[in-house]
Amino acid sequence: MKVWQALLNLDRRILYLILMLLVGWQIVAPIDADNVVSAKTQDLFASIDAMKEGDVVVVQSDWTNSTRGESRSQFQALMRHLMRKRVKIILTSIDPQAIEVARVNLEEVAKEPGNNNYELNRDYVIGGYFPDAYNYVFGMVNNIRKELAAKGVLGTPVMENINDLSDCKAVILVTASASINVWYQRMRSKTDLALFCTAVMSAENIPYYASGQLVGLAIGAKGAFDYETLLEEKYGSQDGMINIAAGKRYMGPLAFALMLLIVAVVFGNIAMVMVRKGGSSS
Amino acid sequence: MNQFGKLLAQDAPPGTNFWAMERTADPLFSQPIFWWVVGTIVFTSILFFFLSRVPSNFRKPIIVTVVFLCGFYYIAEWLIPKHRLPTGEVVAPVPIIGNWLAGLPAASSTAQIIASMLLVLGVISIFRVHFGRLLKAQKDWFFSGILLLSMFTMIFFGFANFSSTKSRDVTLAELNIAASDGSMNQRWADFARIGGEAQALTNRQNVEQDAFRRFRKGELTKSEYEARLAEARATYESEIQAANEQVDSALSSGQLDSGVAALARGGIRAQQSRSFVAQGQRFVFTDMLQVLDAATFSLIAFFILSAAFRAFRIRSIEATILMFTALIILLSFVPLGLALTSGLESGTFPGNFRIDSISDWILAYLNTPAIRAINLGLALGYLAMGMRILMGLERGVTE
Repeated sequence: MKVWQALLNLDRRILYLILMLLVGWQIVAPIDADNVVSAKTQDLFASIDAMKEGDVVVVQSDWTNSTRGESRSQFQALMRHLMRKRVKIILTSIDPQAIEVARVNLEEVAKEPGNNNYELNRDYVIGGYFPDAYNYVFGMVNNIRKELAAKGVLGTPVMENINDLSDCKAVILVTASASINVWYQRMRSKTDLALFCTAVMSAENIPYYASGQLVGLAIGAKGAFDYETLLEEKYGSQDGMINIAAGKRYMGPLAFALMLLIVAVVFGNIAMVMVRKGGSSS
Repeated sequence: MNQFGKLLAQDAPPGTNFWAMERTADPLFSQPIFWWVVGTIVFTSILFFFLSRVPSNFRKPIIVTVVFLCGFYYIAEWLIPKHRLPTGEVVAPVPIIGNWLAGLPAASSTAQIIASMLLVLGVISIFRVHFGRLLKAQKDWFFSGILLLSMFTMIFFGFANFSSTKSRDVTLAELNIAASDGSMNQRWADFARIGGEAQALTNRQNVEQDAFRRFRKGELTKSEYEARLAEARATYESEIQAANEQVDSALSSGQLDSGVAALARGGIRAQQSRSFVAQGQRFVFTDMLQVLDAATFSLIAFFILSAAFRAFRIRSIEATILMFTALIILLSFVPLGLALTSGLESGTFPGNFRIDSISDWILAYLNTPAIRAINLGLALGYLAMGMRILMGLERGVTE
């Protein structure tokens, strides 16, 4: 009885210490486990893989460092794929910090071998920050050239054949917020819509994947790892390409943190039941 | 357009935005933009003056009318069918209205400007509160000082880097013109040398990083790893030498070929990214803000663990169902969790009991209908609220 009571009154610092040790162990010496790629990520990968050289996509990046663990590896995996396919990118955001975070990450990936030395205004343009999400989507759907007119990108090769949103092959969101909801409302089936979202957002977006409004969906750090696994299957180590990166690195620490969470919840409940039983029998 | 005008217009093509209006060589007061600015200020001042003098019993109808017209614009845009042809022409049953709605003469831009003004209001509010606390040396004045210093440092480097990037783009445009003419000079040669060195450095770093990854995985021995590093160093030197020879050759012939132009482009970008403002911006944004942000949010893991251990208790049937569902979904998000049941073959009856199969079933057949029901309820709520606001029945809008 004392053991269960002691467990119920466990000092939170002991839990913190166990978490630190487990995560630290997995950062230093991660355990390798085979991945089962989800069908949602496979569909997402396939839709981007079907694009041809010179196609244009709108990438809306609305994540910052609060979800860096999930969104950064998703964004980088997406950029690797688009750059290898030589798909041109219009990068936008509805978060003032996110556009800069995205630009830094895009430039980082562009320097990697095999990613075709992507250049600003030749292979990608930065459409920049839009303060009002609703009217930004409204403008993009109705008149993309007018919406981007003040951003100094219209004269670039990226925008050469883009007169309407339907000229873009897809709108892809990498987001940690509900910014995709406006696209669901205003998209009007003009082009494909794809989503990289955080794990907590999965429940509210899966219905749109089920209805076919999303051509694919990558969820959380697992989604990033799935995408990296698919990149590895397709490109292997040709030209020194980097396929497996942060998505896989985060899997070990995340797995052990979640396992600890599960164990803590289970043992917390067992301790509660045992203490109650002990109390009623005495 | 002068540099300040460019900064305001963000290099918009002439005629596409107010600040991109064509300038003439006449004095300032003869320029059309000058009179547009003056006229706008005068008109707005008169409008606000009369609005402030409107009797209180007329204010509500004015607000309701403006709100109704704004809301009706979005309804009309949504409901009137129209289609944009590949030529850009808009086809609609009522062409003028269809074109006007699809052309978005004002709505989107106005909304973006109003939303931007909220950011300015936020900055002013932060400044007022924290500068006041700093001046009066109130409690925690030190933190207010740090906040203001951080804010203005970020604003300074953000604007300075933006301006520097614009200058870089102007130089790139000049290079493109020179490349189309094929005219080479010392300026492009200097940029090309910088670009050659930057490209060689990137290649060297890529090889070194690849070698390190392979060495860490055990694919390379230590001696092989060191040999790769030595080879990368040698290649780096030879690539710089080759680039310089290419530049010298172009300089002596006076012909700017595509190879040297590409090097010069890289040089212009490299020089901008090595400038004081670009490095400062990287330091405050990437090296400080991002890292501090990530560190702060990583603390959440500790709080979630502690809270789950103390608060996630099975006290009812519903709580038990919730807990087991959560555990299955959690396990499906990590390969180690999936590995627990990976022995069960997919497509067979036991395969239905794999963690990923159960998780997919829960999300598709339990979660999806529930979310759809919630969304339907929300949509009906939005509709009712929208109607109330449009008709001026919502007290928050009119009072």
